[in-house]
Amino acid sequence: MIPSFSSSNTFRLLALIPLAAASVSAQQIVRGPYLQQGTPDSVVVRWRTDVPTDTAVKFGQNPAALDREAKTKWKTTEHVMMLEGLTPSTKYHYAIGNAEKTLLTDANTHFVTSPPHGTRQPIRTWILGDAGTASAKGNEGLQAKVRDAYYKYSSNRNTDLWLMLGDNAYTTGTDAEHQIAVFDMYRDMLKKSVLWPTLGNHDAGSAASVTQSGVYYDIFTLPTQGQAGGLMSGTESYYSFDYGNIHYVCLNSQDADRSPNGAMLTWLKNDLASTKQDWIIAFFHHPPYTKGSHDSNTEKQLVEMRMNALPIMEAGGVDLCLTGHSHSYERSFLLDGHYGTQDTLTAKMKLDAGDGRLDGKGAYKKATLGTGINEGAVYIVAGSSGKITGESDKNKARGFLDHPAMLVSLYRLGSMVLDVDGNRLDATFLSEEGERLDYFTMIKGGDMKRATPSSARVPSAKTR
Amino acid sequence: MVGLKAHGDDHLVIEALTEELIRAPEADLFIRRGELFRHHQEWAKADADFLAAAKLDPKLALIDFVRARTWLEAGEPAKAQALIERYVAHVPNEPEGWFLRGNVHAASGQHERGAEDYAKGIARASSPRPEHFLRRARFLAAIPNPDPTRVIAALDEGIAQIGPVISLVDYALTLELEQKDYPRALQRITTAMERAPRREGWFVRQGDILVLSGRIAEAIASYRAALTAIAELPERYRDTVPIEKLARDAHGALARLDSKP
Repeated sequence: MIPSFSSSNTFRLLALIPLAAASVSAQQIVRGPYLQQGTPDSVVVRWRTDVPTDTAVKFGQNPAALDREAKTKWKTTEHVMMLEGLTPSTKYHYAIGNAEKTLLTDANTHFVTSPPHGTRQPIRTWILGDAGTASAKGNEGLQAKVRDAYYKYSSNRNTDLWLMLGDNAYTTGTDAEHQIAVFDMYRDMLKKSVLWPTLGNHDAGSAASVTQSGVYYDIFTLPTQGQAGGLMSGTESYYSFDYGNIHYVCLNSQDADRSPNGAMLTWLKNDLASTKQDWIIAFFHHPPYTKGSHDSNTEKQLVEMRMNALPIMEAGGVDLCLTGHSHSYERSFLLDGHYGTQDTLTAKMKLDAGDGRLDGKGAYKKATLGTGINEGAVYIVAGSSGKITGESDKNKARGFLDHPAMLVSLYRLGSMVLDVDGNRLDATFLSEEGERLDYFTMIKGGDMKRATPSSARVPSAKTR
Repeated sequence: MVGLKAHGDDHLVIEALTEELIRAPEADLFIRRGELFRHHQEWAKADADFLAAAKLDPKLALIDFVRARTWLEAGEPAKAQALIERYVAHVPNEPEGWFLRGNVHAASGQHERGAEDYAKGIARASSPRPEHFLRRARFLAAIPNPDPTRVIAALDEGIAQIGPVISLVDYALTLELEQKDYPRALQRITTAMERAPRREGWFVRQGDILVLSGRIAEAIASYRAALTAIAELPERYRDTVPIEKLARDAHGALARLDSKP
């Protein structure tokens, strides 16, 4: 069944559906709570109720005595409450509801505020690309399997933050599709860890970046003024934020101006020049290098991101670039200066042609802890968190996974796990079965902090 | 049937839409399929689908918008013109229509009208983006014999509305320096520095403009402030190529100024 295209609304292709069950019962939470825009001293808590109510969040460090409260009087179904004046790196418990009563608090309604910017401590980030298949025909249960594999993998470790690389809700990013593929799917994680998304082409079916309106922009609260670190972008379409000693940069490769002197890339250049963090990780939807279900040699958005954004990113010291769009996993060598089609890749552009593995040819090393200009970046396509396109469909949607910039190319479901600790970054691609299908380490500046030998079963590099 | 190899699952969606259309032709399905063709630059197929949608639902104003956008992207703004005119006449309060008409005008060389349309779109948008103000300013700058004060005013309108976004500040500064309007450029830098996470680069720019203004003592102070800011950076930042260059620039400027009689 193809979701219907709204013909009653002349521009918003599929409008926000406030709540189908509005008349069923009173004062029930039908979405969330979910955390947004975390900073060392604040976090935004959002949720949706079935009927308009006022808004109240009780919170505190003792779950038995939530001694602080934030509230507003006006009635709404879309509750957005910023909790301010928090202490960095501190665990808070919370309960949501209204002046009359608490509607929800449970074992997962807690969060840890971000550490002060620049803090070097272990940081775990979970990354999902093209996850939003939910129960779509032919993909039943896949998204949940990928989720559950990560939950098991990280069961003894708090997820500090998580990223969604676009196509968060198939097929056209409607509110109802987001409900199933995001809010129902990741209910527990949303309560306790801040989600930072980027816009994919499918999400754009119900969102218009040109006016920052539509479902994606309605349901997410993203920084426009540099509230979470970084340079103000003036738009939710692209933004940056700091977590500990990592500077994250989210670009809009879908429908923002990708020209070199456009607003987004002008901002990018200045944002990268402004950061003081040890690590810079960029994420957006369309991969600069892929031969999966998309082709970076020919497709406009991919070509423009590679030709226009990558030179700025590499000169600005980006270490890692995370993308989706192709429903596969592809991971590059440590690269610099490859802005053309795949046939223009030279050996010189591979700053390290090894596998980046401590138990292989060694970690990727960058001389500068901080902004290492043109010291290389690893490019990852991680667009298989909800499905693999074309596995049984050779020569149609499926590419040949033969981009020469890529060391590892897999048609496997999975998600990425990033662990940063000081000057060391460990990246893992975790399958829906819990296997570590790929991993590598990057070390910046001085000596590595510590080496953790991998005992996991890992396929050889360049597996197809 | 669609020739969209290596375009992800789009061809699967197109095939599903095609099957659906065979069963029950609906305007919205034709538009969805047309949009996929547009995305893959198959302009004629896209337009054919939009026309098929128009036959099924002639009152659907959106069709004019998507057809106009298709022809503009295809590099044929003349074909887009009448369509977008009709769209904004039908739906005058949709900002997207004005932005698209502005782009059509600009692509036809009518930058003044393009800028006017962007102003109308901005006025109707609940959250205009930096791009809107920047594009409007660039359209104004592309008019024959442009008036820089109008361009700067358009940028300042954006800064007032959405804050000192770097793309707007940078362009305004460039224009003010071209105009040798150093007092305004210096004021702009002062404002930008108030919110900047790092200020060393701004101090050097400030010093450069102060030199151009003949305010040498202040310029020296500014370059020194830049060197102080650089010295206060963590070592790992001081040792980077751009910061070393910035420090060299500041030292060089100070040496030149010190050697002046």
